[in-house]
Parts: sequence; C-alpha cells; structure tokens
Amino acid sequence: MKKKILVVEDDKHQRVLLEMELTRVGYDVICVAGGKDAVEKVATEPLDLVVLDIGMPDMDGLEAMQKILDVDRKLPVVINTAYPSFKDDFQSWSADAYVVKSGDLTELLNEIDKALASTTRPEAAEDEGT
Amino acid sequence: MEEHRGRVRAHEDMGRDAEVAAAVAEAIEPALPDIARDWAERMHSVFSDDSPALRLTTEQYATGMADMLRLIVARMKDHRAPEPFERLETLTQRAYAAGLDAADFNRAWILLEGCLLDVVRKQHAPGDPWPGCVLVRGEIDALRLKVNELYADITQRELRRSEERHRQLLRYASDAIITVDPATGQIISANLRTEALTGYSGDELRGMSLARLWPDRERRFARQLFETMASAGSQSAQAVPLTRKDGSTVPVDVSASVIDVGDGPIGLAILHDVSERVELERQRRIQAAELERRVQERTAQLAWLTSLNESIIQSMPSPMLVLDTDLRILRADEKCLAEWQVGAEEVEGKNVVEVFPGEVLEQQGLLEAIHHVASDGGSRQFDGVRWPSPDERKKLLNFRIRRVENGDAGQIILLWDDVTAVAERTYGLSLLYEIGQAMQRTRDMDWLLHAILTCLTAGPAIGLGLNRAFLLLIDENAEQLEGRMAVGPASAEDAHRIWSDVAEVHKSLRDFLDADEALDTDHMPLHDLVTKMRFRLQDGEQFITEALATRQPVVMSDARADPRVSGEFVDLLGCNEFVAVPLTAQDEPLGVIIADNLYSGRPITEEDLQLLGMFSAQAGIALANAAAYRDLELGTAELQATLEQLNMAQESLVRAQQLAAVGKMAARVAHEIRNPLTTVGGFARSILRDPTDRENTQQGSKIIVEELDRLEQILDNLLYVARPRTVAFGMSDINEIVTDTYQLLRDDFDGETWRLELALAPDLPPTLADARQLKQAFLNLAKNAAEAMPEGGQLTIRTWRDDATVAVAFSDTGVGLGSDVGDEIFELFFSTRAVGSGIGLFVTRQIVEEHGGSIQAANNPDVGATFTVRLPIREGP
Repeated sequence: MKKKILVVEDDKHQRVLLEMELTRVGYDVICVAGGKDAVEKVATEPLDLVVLDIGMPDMDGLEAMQKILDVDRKLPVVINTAYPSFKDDFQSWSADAYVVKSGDLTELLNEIDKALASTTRPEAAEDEGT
Repeated sequence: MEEHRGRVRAHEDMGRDAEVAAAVAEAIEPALPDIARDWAERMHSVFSDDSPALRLTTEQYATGMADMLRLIVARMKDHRAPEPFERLETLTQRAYAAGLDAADFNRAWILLEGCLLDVVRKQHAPGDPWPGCVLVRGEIDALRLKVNELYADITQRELRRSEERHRQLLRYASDAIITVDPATGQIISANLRTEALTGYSGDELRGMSLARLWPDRERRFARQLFETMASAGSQSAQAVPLTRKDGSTVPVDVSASVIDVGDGPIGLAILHDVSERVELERQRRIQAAELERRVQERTAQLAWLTSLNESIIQSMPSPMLVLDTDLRILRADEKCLAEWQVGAEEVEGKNVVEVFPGEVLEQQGLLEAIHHVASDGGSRQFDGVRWPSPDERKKLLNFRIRRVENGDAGQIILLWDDVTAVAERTYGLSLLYEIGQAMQRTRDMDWLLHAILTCLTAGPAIGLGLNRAFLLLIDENAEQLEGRMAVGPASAEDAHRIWSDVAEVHKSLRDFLDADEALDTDHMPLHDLVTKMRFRLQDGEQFITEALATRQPVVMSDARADPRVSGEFVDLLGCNEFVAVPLTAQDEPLGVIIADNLYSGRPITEEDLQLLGMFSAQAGIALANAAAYRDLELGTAELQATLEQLNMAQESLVRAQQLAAVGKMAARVAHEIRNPLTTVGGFARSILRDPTDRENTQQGSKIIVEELDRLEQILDNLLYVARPRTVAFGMSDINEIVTDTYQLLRDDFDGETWRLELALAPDLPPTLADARQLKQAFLNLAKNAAEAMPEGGQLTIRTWRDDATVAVAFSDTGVGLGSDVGDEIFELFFSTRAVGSGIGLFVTRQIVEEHGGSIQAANNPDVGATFTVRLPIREGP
C-alpha cells in the first residue's frame, strides 16, 4: 500500500515540485498551503508522514508541528525549509528530520524513507519484507 | 397848602384880580427868557463857587426856570390852570439830592421874586403899590411855601429812609452791634448777629446788663468797658472770650464807643467773632512749636553726627589732613601731628606743598592729582608712594584723596596709610610664588634638587638671600643622611664677584635656573665640603632630628653654644649661624638642606624662617611632583603598550561586527533566493531525467522561467540596498506604471486561485517619478501580498488622487499583519518566521521616500491588509 504524505508548503511552485517528485517515487501526496489546513487534514485523514515547511504566513511550521503532534503524537514529521538556522531550535527536535531545501531532492527523499522505516507500524515491516 | 389857597382866595376877593393877573402875565410873558437868564446870572453871583446851588450851569438854570415861569404865567392868566406842583416836586427833589439846604432854596426863590418884580415895576411908576407886585409876591410866596413843605417832606422821607436803612444794616450786620445805656450798662438794642453770637434772644438781650457777657474772670474787662462808656471815650480789645448763654465761650474783638445822635449819648459796642482767627493763630503757634522742635532735633542730630564724625576720625588708623580748595591745611588730626611731631598751629594754614617733601609729591603725579580733585571733585588713590626715611629702609605709603562738599565750599581730605610692612610681606610671598613656579617647571629630580638650592642662594632679592646651601638626602637604607649637592660661592671673593654681576645684569631667578646647562655636580665648588657631611638619622645631630620631626626650619643662631649641634659639625661647616630646612615629600622625609650666610654675615631672622618654612613646603610638593612624574613616565610606557593592544582588539571587534553584519545579510539573501533556486533546481532535474516528456518539460520550464523572474526581482532589491541608486526622474503616469506592473503579475495572479483587480482613477495627473524604481516598489508590494495569501485570494490595486498626492493602495485578502507589528515591517531584515526576507518592503519604502512620498500598512476591517503608497504630485523642471 502506498504511503500517504502530507506536504505543507506555502510556495505554489514548491508544492507542484514536491507533489511531482514524491508521486514519481511512489507516494500518495496531499498538498496544503498552510498550518491550519495541515492540522485539519491530520485530524481527518490517515497519514503516514508530513513534510513541513517552516516559513509560512499565518502559522509558522514549528507551531503547526506542535499542533499536528497534539493530534497524532507518533506521526513522523520531516521539516523541509529554506531556513538553516532553526536546526538547533529545540522546537525542531520534535521533528524526525530537518532538511534544508535544495534543488537536489535526494536528501529529502532519504530522510522521508528513514522516517517511514523507523515507525513501529506493522505495514512497514510488511513492506520491508517484500 | 391851606394857607396858600387862603391867600389866593383873598386875591380873588379883591375883584380886579383877574385883570391884574392878566396884566402881569402880559408883562412877564414876552420877557420870560430874559427873566430866566437874569435870574440864573444872579444865582451865580449870589452863591459862592463851591455851593451846591451852582451845580448846574447858567444855561441849564435859565432853561429850567423859563419852563417854571411859563407855568406860573399860565396860572396867572387862568387861575384854573393847574398848579405847577409836579414840576416843583421834581425841582425840590433835585435840589435836595444836590445837597441844597432849605435856606439856599429860599434864597433862590427870593431872587426870582426880585427878577419878576423888576419887570412888573417897569410897567408902573415907582412907589405905586400896584397890585401886580402884590400878586407876584403872593404867587412867589405861595410857591415858596409849597417848596418848603415839599422840602420838609422830602427831608423827612429821606430821614425815615435813612433810618430804615440803618436799622436794616444794624439788624443784619455781620458783627454784633449793641447799643448800651452808658449810665446803667444795660442793653438798649442788639442786632440779629448779637443773638446768634451770644445765644440770647432779642428779648432777653434788651434790658440785660452788658456785663453778663463777660462774667467771672472777664469781669474786669466788662468794668473797663463801662468806665469807657461812662466817660464817653472809646476802647477796643482783641480776642476777649465772650460767654454765651450756654456757658461756652467765643473769642471776640470788641470796639466800644459812645455816640450821640442828638438825644443823648449812647454806648455802642461792636463785637467781631474772631474764633477763626484765634484758631488759626493757635495752629500757627502749634506749627511754630513743631518747627522749633524739629529744628532742635535737627540741631541735636547734627551735633551727634559731628561728634560721631570726630570719633571716627580719631579712631581711624590713618593720619588725615583736611585742605581747602587752595590746598591750604584747614585741619590736621592728632595722628598726623603725632607722626610729624608738630603742633597744630605749625601746620594749619600752611599749603600742602610746604609740609610734604617735594620728592613725595612728585611721585605718580600726586600733587597734580590733589589739584585735580580740588577743582573737579571725585577721589583718587595712589599706592606705593615712597617716603624718604632717615634709616634707608624704604617707607611705602598709600595715599587717598577725596573731595567732600561742605555747604558751598568744597574740602579735600587727604589720608595715607603706611603699608611698608605689608609691602614687604607681599614681596616675600611673590618671591615664594616665583620660586614655586620655577620648581614646578623642573621635573627631573636632579635638576629639581639643584633648582631648590639655587632658589635659596641666587642672591638678595632674587632668591631667599642665603649665601650657601648644602643638600643632604636620606640614603636607601633610611639610616643616614648624606651630603649630595651644594650651591654657592666657594669663597668670599667669589661671592662678591657673583653678586656684583647680578647687580649689574639684573638677573632673574629664571635666568639663574636656566644658566646651568650641564649639571656637573662633581665640579661644583662646594662639592668636596658637602660630600663630607654625613649623619646618622638615629643618635645623629639633634638639630637634624628636630627639623625632620617638626618639619619646620630650625635656626642655630649661635651654633657653638647650642647643645643641639656638635662641635665637629660647626668646624666642618665653618660658620656659627645656620639654618636646617627639612625636605619632605608626601609625608616622607627626603632630607635636609643646611644653609648659612657665611659671607655676608647677615643674621637669619624670624621672617627668613617664615619664608623658609613656606619654601620648604613648596619644595616638598615639587619633589613629590617630580617623583610622581617619574613614576608617571614609567607607567606611561606601560599604558602605551596596553593602549596599542586595545586598539588592535577594537579593530578586530569592528571587523568581526562588520563580518557579522555581512554574514547576516548574506544569510538573509541566501534564504530569500533559496526557495526560487530549489524550485528551479528541482524542475531542472526533473526535465533532465526525461527531456522527451514534453508536458513535463513544458510545465517545468514555465515554472523555471517564473522563478528566475522572481530571482531577478530579488537581485534588483539587493542591488538597491547594496549600492547608491541613480534616480531617473521623468514625467510619469502612475496608472501606466501600475498597468505595467500588472502585466508582470498576470502569470502569478492567473484569475483562478489568485485574482488581481485594478481600480484606477481616470483623472490622475502625471507626476515626476522614476518609473523603473516605482515598478520595482509595486512588484515588491504585490509579492508581499501574494505571500500573505498562499492558498489564494484577491489583490486589488487602486489608484486615486488625494489633494496634492497620488495614492496607490495594494489590498489583499491574506493573513493580515500581526497585531503587535507596526512600521518595523519596513525595516531592513525585519522578519518573524512567517514573513519574508525583509529586504523587499525596505526597498519599497526607500523608493517611495525618495519620491518624497510615504507608505502605510494597516489591516483591513474584514480580512487581509492594505499597503497605501502616497506620492506628491510634482511638476517637471
């Protein structure tokens, strides 16, 4: 079964890119443009991972992350941001990974894989086996 | 009247009286004017020249009488004709008024009779008692009688009138007029004023004894009054107090006399109320007394002031001379006389030039000044006038000259004070000051020590006037005093030579100090001697211990006899009188200077000691300064090094800060371009993976192009911040600029998720602007709006004219501004995590302000925010 990834990103073109690439490598992708929508989605749909931008108007990524984790404590979150400086922000430690945006999405994809693999969902073990 | 009528009837009874009368009338009538003239002339000859009867002229009489005669003739002709009574009355009144008495009047009529008879007689022979004459006589008689009656009437009338007038006068006179029976003293009558004055009524007064008005003490006066009256004399008295009915008194002037109006003597007393006058006099007396008192007071004051003056003058220390304007001595006070040892009579009256020595008066124009003050006034002061003195010591005086006014004449006051002692003290202090200055200038310790010694010995009036000075310093172990330096001539001959040099060349202390360029202590003349001086601090010479302990100079006037000095030292020094001056710096004893007057033999006086004491204090300070300076110099080098290090550290800090700023800037820039770059990178890689996928390539390329445009925008903003901008102003249409911007935005605001609306006012006037820069600013604002509504929304760009400005508003439906965020959003690098890089809005504001405009941001009432730019409308050059 395909894993479902929620992409939270305010930049339109980034959303297009991420959706395109993540779909290409075999994920189901849902995109939202802001933190509020993200929390809503997490509450209403089964998700396997969240890719989260930090620099967003209205609610910034870290705040959104806290709200998401309030809903689902175990949901893996990979931060994908243009800000390099928040890596050491204690709030970002709640995330499973912190990736600085790049034209080369390799690092992001790797971190997504790692985060999905380390979950204790039985489906993961099943996929690994196959 | 009756008698007259009787006579006339008698005539008529004669039978032929009518014929007679007619005949007489006939005779008189033609001669009427002549009769009148004749009568008038006779009047003039009968009466004396000064008689009132001759008041009228002959002419007037003639005319008057002619009229009268006409009337008489008319009566004769016809006895029914009216009697000329009216005429007679008028005549009589006039005569009376003129002052004619009855006798004169009668005489006039008789004269008239005579004239008429003469005329009538001419008609007849003389002696014939013609009835015509009788008739004339009768007529004239009748008239004469009538006139007399009239006269009497008039007289009586006048009398009555006069009486009445007098009565009125009396009654209403402003003085009290009392008539008194001189025999009894009783009041016969009193006028109204008397009633008012005395308080008694008219009835009470009549019959009252006049004496009642002056009872008691004035009784004597009343008696006198009576006696006067009784003896028909007259008397007047002034301000006699009259007692009124109610007992009060009023002062009156009384004049009493006796008059006789025909029925016996009557006493007349006239009383005049003089209370006003009395009061005035009383006040004048009081004033006079007051004046007298004041004058006495003044006099007493004056006397007191004079005596005070005297005491002051006497207690003043200055002798004083008082001169007149010709410079003659009016007065010399006691001190002056005592000083000159002369008596007052030897000095007073002499001119000032005779008592003051000429050489004194010539100094500083003293005599001229005295003349000047004498003629023009004012005051002058002369300090330091030298008075020749027998014992060669200069006596210095301060003169003060002043002019004072004494009534009409001026006087000159001459005072003088002996300031010799003061001058000497001042001189000593100024010398010390100079020395102190000299010592302060010398920083080098050795030079300073030498300078100190030189100050002591440089010579009389230049230094402190001692002959030789030896410096002994405490050694490092603080156990001994060692002789180090000495200044002064080695021998008496040397001394003499040096001092005569000084006298010729007038060297100053500074010259002395500057003169010794090479401090070659080893070759100084007294060097050998001073190095032999060595004392232990403990158990050493007692005079040294004392000097160091008391920190005061100690003088040995007779060293041999003084137990504080050892015999050996006296031998070594070679002088029986010397002084030891301690040197301390900041409470630490440094050493001792021993000085003497070997060559001049001048004794070291109390005053010298005082000066030396002050000198040693100054020397101590100078030494402390020099020591401190030395430490300072050492310290300074260290400080210099430290300062160098600090400077370097400062520089590195500044550089680090600069780097940090640059770093910060770089980080911001990096962040801002990261998104577009990663997007470009991502899509480029995607295309590269399969270039043949047309759709993918198309979509990717489109997005890449858009992102690259964004990057260019960012670069423009960066460049704007990084370097000075060249502005290119031209007349521009703001609407056109907005429309151009809109073209660029059309791809992003595609009308589906993001809508863009324009609401441009049609009447915008062109204004001076840089179109390219404004476009950049507007792009920034649009981008900012887009970032605020990432999930879509509407941006409205509105333009309108507002007075003298053009307004452009960017209104979005995004997340709006934070509630606590104000103008900071326009600051460079401002950001919350949510908002962008912080360059765009900053640049926008810069551009707007460069156009002389302003920009504001505010939340919309419903959703989103609006940024309003206002640009002033400017005409081109």
